[in-house]
Amino acid sequence: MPVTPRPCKNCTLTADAQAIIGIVEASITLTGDTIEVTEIATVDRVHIAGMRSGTVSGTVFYDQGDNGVIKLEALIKSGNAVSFVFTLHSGATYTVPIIMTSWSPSIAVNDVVRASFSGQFAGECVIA
Amino acid sequence: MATIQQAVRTMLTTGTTLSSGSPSVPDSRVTHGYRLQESALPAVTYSVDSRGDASTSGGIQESTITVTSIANTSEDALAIAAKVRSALATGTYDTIPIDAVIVTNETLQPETIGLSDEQEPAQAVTTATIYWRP
Repeated sequence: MPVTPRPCKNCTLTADAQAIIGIVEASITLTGDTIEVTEIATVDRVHIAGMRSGTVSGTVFYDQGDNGVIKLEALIKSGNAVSFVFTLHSGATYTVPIIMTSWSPSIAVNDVVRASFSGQFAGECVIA
Repeated sequence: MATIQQAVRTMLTTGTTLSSGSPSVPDSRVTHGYRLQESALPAVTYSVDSRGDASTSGGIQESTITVTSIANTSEDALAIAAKVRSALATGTYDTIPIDAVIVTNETLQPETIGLSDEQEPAQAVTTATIYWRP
């Protein structure tokens, strides 16, 4: 079956059920550690799967009147883990509890105000 | 349904920013793309040079617009360009919300006079980035 390119304009992100709109870019990264179990006198290193984790990050247009921005600002202050849902295209979601680890509004000449954020997985990422 | 081109013209002609005082540019001399060579001066032309998605959701659009203030003298062209800066304001025009307007550049092409009595008017070109929602 051929791969179907999906336009990013149909992607969505929710944080604690609040839609985050005005997304300039966002990403979710799943990582997996490995554990070396190579035995003495073997030539090839041997690894097995270790702990899984991951992070999210992104950039949004900053508007303090927007409910999505209000939510992200609240999350970085509370430190609570809440459910983030990335919908990459219709029917394709990554759902994971996230603890916000950074929130960085920024200004630049000849530009609009933006804010970048990042978060750490606080549990399993469910891909559906 | 209104287009962003219509909305930009409405933004430029809203109120009396361009048409009051001196030099004055009546609304009828604010045209899209070009003006006829022998039409009255001063005048303003504009164009929407680009349009693209600015966000992955929410329908925010980013466009670059160019507004050219045309007058017989550089002084008048610059005076109109200053008015253009004031006219480039956020608001809802022809039902299209323009949320942010950022003037990114302004250049002046002085008037030129040929060997005979031919003259080319001065042009002050203002470039801006706008964020809007269709």
